[in-house]
Amino acid sequence: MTAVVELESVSRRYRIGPVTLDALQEVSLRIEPGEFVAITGPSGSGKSTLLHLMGLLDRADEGCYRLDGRDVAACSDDELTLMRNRKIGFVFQAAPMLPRLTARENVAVPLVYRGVSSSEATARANHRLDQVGLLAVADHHPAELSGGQLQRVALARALVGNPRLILADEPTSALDAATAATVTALLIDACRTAGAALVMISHSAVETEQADRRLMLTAGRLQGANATGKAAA
Amino acid sequence: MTPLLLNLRIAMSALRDAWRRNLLALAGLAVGIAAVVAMLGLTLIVRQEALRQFDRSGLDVLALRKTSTPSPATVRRPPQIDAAALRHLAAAVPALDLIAPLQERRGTLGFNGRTAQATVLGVTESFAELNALEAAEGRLLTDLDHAEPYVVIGRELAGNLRGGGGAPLVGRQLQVEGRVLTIVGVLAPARAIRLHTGDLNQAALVPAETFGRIVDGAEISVIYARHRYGPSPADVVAEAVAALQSQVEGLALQATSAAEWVAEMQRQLRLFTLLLGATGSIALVLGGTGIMNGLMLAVTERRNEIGLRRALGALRGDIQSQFLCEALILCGIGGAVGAPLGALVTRVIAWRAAWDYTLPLAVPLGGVALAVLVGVAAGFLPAFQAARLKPVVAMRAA
Repeated sequence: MTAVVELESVSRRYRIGPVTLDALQEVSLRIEPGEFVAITGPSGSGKSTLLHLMGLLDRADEGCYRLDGRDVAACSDDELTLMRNRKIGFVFQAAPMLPRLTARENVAVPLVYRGVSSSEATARANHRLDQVGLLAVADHHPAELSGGQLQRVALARALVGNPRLILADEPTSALDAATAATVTALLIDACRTAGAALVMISHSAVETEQADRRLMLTAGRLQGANATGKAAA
Repeated sequence: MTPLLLNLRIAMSALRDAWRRNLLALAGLAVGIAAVVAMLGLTLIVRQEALRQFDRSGLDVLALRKTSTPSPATVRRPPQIDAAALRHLAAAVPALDLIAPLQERRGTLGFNGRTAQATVLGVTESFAELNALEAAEGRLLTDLDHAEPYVVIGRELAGNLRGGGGAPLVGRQLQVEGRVLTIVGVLAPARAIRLHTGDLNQAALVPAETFGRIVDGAEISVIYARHRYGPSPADVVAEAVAALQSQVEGLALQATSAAEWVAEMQRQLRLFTLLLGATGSIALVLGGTGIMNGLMLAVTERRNEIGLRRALGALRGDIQSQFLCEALILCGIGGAVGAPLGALVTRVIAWRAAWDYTLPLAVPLGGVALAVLVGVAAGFLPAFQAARLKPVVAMRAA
């Protein structure tokens, strides 16, 4: 089976003036469809950088990254954007939204860029909002929603395009325990039922314990016995 | 919803949110567009007005004006254009088909025991023909009047003499420079050829020979002439000057042809256009720069939005068109406000100057089109900058 994510000796360096910072050093990682991988690590360890690379928001300086079997190094910027739109769903920490659009429109945005018809995009957005229990507030603007509701809208947006890879960057850190549990459950459910790979950065033991694998990043290096293989459930 | 509609939706909302900032830039742009529309409109109107003035008398008119250049020491008496010189002029320059010598003096008129100052003109029949004069009452002067004590008065002068009453003037006596003349006619509202500087409506016209009798030191100060089409106006002017100077020793003339006058006027109009164009361009540049600055600020403020949209699948082109779209909407509004404003300014100026207001629709439409062009120019850099933002900013900003 083709792995969703295949990283081979990937490195990423940042140059800040005369200083070169090794954000990621020779990271290798393979993630299968339907697998939930939790990544932990101290601040500045490279967790977000790794997520950026996997999400095609950034490019590696060295190494090889294959997303769903395709080497992304040779892809143009527009090709990366199209892959991101079709294969990846993001759930960011602060649940950023387009403030001028309603919740439904925010959820439908990835489909708009995919060229899906307006009626179908609306129907699929409604379906995902219903799944996360927010159909009733579909016409509300982000400013009218609570933090927990926003994160669930973000989750609906991440899932609306049926992605192969869901990348979640501390999605529950700003939520209360009950809402956090709901969001995590929804994420894991999407991963299990749709067969999407889920990569979640989290510091919550409750969440990481549910993962198939728990990886730790320290100073840009990936720690963990199961970095390249699927752990037993 | 398509990406374009999404852009429009966000653009309208974003512009509404930043209306205070955009208002200043819009005002600058609207003023610029108004200036350009007014510039084009006034240029067209002034040109039409000038040509309209020449329409009546045509471009085949010239003026030979005697100047006050001191006579050379060898000349014993001041040079004067006499009947012999005029006959020679007609014979030597066959291209001239109408010659209207004019004598002019500020004189005292007496009527009903009251006196007033007015311009008295000594004219021939050809003067009336050249200026397309018509009589509202009585008749015009003819060459048959010779030295008869007749006078024809302009419409406004007639009104002054009547003193608000409606009494007929034809047949009444008018004292001109102490001589009693009979009013034989009152002019219809008159508009002299463009080369004539006086107002015929306030003048008293007497036969040329009569003028010589009643005015001390009377002399022909200017000769208006009309030439046939064909020869160049400059050649005809040169021939006419040479013909007169060959007959009148020491005669200094300033020659002007209508064609030259129009050419000069067009040169001045070009200068005027250039000046207004520069003013309009500066206002447009300022307005466009204001809009560009506003959008650059918006790009900085909306980095998160840009990054998020890039993360969700927006291509560089989608982001670029977002800011171009906003620039075009802003400039479109600026054009939609500025173009009618420019038309209004043109109308007011035309009204104040008593010009006919005829503004082709293409002028304000051109103003709007120019605003759109400014929009493209002003939006290009912010749009380019926004499109260049790396999507990684979304994660960092989030």
